[in-house]
Amino acid sequence: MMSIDYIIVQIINALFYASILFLISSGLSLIYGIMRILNLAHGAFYMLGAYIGYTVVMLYLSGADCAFIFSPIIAIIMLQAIGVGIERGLIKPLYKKPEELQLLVTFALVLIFDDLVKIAWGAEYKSFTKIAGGSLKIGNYTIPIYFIGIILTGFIVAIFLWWFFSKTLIGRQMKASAYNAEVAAALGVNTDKIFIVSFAIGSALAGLAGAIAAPILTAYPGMGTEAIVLSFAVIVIGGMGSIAGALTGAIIAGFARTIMAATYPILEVALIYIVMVIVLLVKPSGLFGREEVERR
Amino acid sequence: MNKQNKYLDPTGPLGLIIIFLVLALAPLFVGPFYVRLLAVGILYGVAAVGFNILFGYTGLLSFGHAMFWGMGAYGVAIGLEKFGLGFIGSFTLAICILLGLSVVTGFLSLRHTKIYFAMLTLAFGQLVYAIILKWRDLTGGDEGIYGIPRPLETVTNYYYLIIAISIVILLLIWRLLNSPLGVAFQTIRDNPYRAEVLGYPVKRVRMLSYVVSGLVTGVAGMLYSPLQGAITPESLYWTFSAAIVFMAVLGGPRIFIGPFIGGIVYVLLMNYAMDITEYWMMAMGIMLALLIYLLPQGIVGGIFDYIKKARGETK
Amino acid sequence: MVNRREALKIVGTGIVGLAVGLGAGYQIGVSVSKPQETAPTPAETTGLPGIPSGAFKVGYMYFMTGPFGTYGQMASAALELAKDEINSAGGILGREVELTYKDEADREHVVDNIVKMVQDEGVEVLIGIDSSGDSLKLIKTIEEELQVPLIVTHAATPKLTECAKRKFIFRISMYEEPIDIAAALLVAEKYPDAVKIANIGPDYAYGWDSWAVFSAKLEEVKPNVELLDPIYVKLGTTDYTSYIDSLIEAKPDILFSSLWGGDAATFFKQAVAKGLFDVIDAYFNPMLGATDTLKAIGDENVPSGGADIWGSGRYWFLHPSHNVYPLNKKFVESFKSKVGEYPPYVSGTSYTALMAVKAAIEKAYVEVGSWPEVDEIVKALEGLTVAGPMGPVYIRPDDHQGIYDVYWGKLSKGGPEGYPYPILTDLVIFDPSKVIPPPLKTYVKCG
Repeated sequence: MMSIDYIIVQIINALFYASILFLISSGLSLIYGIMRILNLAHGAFYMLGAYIGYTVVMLYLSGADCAFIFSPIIAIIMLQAIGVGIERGLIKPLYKKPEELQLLVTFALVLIFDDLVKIAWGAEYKSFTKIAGGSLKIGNYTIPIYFIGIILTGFIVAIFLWWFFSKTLIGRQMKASAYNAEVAAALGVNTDKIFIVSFAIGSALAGLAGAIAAPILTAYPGMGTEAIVLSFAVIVIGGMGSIAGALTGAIIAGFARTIMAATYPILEVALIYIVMVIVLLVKPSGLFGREEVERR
Repeated sequence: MNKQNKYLDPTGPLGLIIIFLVLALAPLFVGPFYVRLLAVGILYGVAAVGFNILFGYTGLLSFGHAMFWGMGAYGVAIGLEKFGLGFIGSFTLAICILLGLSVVTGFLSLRHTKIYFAMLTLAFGQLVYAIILKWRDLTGGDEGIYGIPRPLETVTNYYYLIIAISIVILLLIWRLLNSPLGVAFQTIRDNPYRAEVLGYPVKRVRMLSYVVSGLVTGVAGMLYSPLQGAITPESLYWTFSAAIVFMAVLGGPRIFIGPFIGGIVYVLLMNYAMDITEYWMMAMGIMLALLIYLLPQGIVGGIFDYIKKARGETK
Repeated sequence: MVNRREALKIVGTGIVGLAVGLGAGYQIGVSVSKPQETAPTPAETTGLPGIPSGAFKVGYMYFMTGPFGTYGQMASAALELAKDEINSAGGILGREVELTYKDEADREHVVDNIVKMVQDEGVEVLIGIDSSGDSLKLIKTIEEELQVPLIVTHAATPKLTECAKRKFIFRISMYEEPIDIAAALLVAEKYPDAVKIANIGPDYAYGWDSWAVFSAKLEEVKPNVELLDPIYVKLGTTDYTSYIDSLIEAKPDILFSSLWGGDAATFFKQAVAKGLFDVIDAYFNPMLGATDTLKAIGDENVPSGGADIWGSGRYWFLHPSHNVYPLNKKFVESFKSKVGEYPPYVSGTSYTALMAVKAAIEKAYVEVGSWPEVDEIVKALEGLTVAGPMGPVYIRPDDHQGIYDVYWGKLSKGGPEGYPYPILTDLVIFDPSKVIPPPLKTYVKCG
């Protein structure tokens, strides 16, 4: 019979994983919801965040505890800049063109970034020699306090996003634009500005996820391809364009993975896609998604 | 205006014959490594043409076509190595698997269009990947299946077999796409509402397009595992689905032979990139991005557009 | 009248067309101008009769980049060392040795790259292969299509050599089976009270086969063991926390792990942080004796108290002792001064491989009187004993597998002994008749 300590510990593992996934997926969902762009390079932004985190903590500040606070901040700032730069420079010219081209250009970015990080940082896995904070002992088990920190971060970001979209002017404008871009524009919303802000926030979220995940998951080339396809699954399950959906989907994914890893590892990889297929068939707009207005 | 014989269309059978003649002569000029490379390119080309039936002609972007390629390859590999069937038996097994897979995933995915359709195909593709990856006893898991025999023994002989089979398949597909059914595909692509008004059974036609598309890509995959002698789950991962899309767009999705050229060029470009730099993925990414901005109608599309313009014809 | 957009399109077409044309032209030019034959043309310029002119090209493939990149880099360094030693003594029968390589990290093109080296670049002998899966993938291509010798120096799956007698494939490095059998014997001898046995390994041939051998032998010598469901993780997994937690929950007595390279170090450090080694009695990792893994673990992560940590590998640079076996001393010193590191096992085995190639060619030349054909080189390799840093290596004719000392050692801090990272000490050397099965006999299921 499983001990209660064991269950608690695995719950924490699941929530840790879910928090990272939530951060990545909410960014992806945001960009899709408002701009109708599926950004395959979102995983690459996550990867860049991880490398930035590694650089700040390990290379510049030699693993000092305070570095762990700086690195997410720097990652957020840099990824905002990179994200907006890419949106304005590479994606904007394709707005009027067929959607496939936008998708493919983001795929091209994935290929480019995966090699770019190898050029800039080398191809080896970049692991952290230490993690800020001590450990918590629960019975026979040890949990790094850092895990709790990550879970709290996810929670705070979720609350921040809720506040942003319901209480701030620009947030509400963004929500309106997501619901119906033409009407929102007609009502005076500056769509261009909305797009920039969305991409900035979305990319920043991915960068943040990378920077805080890196100490546990290490930074390595190609870490984005698995992250992106899992995030897709999460936002499909939760509902594309919905932050609550991203949160729910991420929690489902986190628990699915942890439970399967502990009981039926055979299903560990497949389960999330099975759930994704079921959701797409039963309620294609996802748990929290709105029925799509079929676009001409 | 004189209507030339359709078969002399350089973007169709005439172009195909010329290309295949060139390909057939290749072993006389290049070494065995390049023959193998071209064989892969031809198979990629056929796979891309298959994909394009659904994409360029019917207007549906599938992000899971690697599952057809991969299941074709694995079907043959499993038949040969795990069940001890001969080539004919294994090819038959693979076709049956492909038929089942395309009908089931098509039926489920086509309930939606555009983005949800694409997401469903992605999900199915990853699901197939996950199953193959973990079903170790049947598929060899992460290390795949190796030691697969090759019809006709040598790479060069098999190359000719591939050419023969491919040209037959491509001509058949061209016939299909230039028949009333092909017109139906394109009408649905351009304006599904109008197509419905005109009386086309849109759902059924799309399903037909999906199944044929999956089968063609799958058959290309079937020929691939005996060529390389081995198959691994990477061929089923979503990044290969993206590569197939890349090939079709590279060649030109609005022209029949476009994706075929795209497949061959993709393989040559990749080999070239690997020769000149360790960072060949980045080189491919840059080339893809350049294509998208400068030549969104693909290489072949671009060439034919230019010829038309030079001749003074309107597009 | 052409407007700007049209001009841009034309330029774009031109650029892409030019790129494609250059690329295609390059390919065709390169392929046509390269000689089709790979056999060297005979000449008399080297002094010895019947020796072709032109360098003797050896091609190798290892993970040169990526998470396992150190394995390839270290093997490459050792091959360069061997090549320099051979060439400065006049080469092989007067022919200079030239090395070329391809990166095994290019997972999609493993077979293609090997074919390219032989058919396109004139390579006559192949050395290499880190991944067991890749070695199996190459069997058909080497044996049936390329038909040149491949000397494996790392990939350890028994299936490569023990499931059928290969013609052209040899393995210099110790294969997995004797090491795993030795571990089972150690468990039976040193931990008689152990009952629950757990496993965590990589999810591919090497991981499955090593557990299969270890558990089969263990059940033979200790019938009362309870084998827990083995855990397999994807290569390159970076987060072992939930696995470690479920291992702590299961409370095994012995943990066997065939994780290797960076994965082994990551798992080890996470396990130390979570106190796994306070729960189990002993930990066995057949690839722990790899200097990159030991370096990554670092002295600070060697647990004090708790479980015994056992490690092995295909060559440990301190064995045979430098006082007793000068070749090892010389190799370690040359390697350290060239590379700045103590040689990991991949260096020892790849160095020996090139030396074996030289010895075989020279032996065959004595018989044949001219540069030997492939068949003659193969025949000379069978039954050859070559002196390597790990001791004399005997290449068994019946399975082409190299035989030398099998060992297990205990993990200890390196600092007190003057080493910059943890080392293995208290080596147990096993009687070959007890741990090395006869040729073509294996616990692993073939086919």
